[in-house]
Amino acid sequence: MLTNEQIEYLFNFCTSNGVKYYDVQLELVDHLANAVEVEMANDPKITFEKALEKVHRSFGYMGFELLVVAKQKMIKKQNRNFFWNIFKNQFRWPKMLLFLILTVSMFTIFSINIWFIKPAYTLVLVTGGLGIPIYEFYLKVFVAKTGYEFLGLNLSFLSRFWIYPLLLPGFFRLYTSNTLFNLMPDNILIPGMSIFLSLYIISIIALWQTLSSVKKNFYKDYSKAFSIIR
Amino acid sequence: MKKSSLYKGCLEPIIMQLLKDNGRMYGFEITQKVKDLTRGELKITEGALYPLLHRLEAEGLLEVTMENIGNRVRKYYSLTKTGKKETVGSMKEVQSFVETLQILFNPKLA
Repeated sequence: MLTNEQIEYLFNFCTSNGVKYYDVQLELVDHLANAVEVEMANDPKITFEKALEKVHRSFGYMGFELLVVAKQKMIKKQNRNFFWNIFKNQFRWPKMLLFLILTVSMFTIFSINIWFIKPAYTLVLVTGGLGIPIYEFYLKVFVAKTGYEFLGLNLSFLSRFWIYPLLLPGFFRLYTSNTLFNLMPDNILIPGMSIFLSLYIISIIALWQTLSSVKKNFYKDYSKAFSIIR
Repeated sequence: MKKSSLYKGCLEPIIMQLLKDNGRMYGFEITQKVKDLTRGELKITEGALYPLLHRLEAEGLLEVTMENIGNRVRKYYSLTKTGKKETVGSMKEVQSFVETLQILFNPKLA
């Protein structure tokens, strides 16, 4: 079994060889430690450093780089799937009730006065447009407190939830002219907006749940890193 | 021809079958097990193993548990429900692949 100092050395070895992310280092260090232990058992005369050198060579000319790239891809996909599953879950009974209630009540309100669409649209999109980046920022600050960097915090897919809706034609024009209202007949605008806004609210809820699950998993999987700030 | 390139396409079913037989395993254990079982014939490189494990995890075929082992943390992989189902399917495909190769290289058997 390797000493604490040797394990520490392995972590530093990862960093100096291009793996700065703690969540990648963790698995790599265990692998290196196992391999080094085998080398040292096979050849009692070999030093720890020489054994490590030998093990590192077996990773090929790309070294550890390949692992980071592969993991990066995987994290992106995993977080996206994670969100998508939570989102789909919102349409299972009885959770689906929320979507129905939102749609029906918005439809009713917009039918009473179509101009209610404007404040509702603004409120929902601004809440989402500010809420998501703020929560993401909070999460990043929270994780940064550990002093480690994590690859698992690749949440780039989030940005589309606050950038895309803002890019929708009509959002800014809503205030300069009344194009949106003139362009679409009421019988499309009212149900369309009710469904769109409800879907957006549901996706914000799903995003919030995704992010807090990501946070919870970080706590669980990297408890040692987070024990500093607990 | 390089041996490793022949095995390349079969890495995924090999790992899934290993996990099916052994329950949960960690990365280094998989490389050693394969080396032992094939008496050194097949050596899975780290550069091939970990990206594959991570991809299978992202696809929901594998799940991960972390465990403290003395002064380090170990990441164990095991098959998910979907992963178990998938293993049966991919084993069938490997078998028909082997049969096809036999037909091609040893026509008398066919």
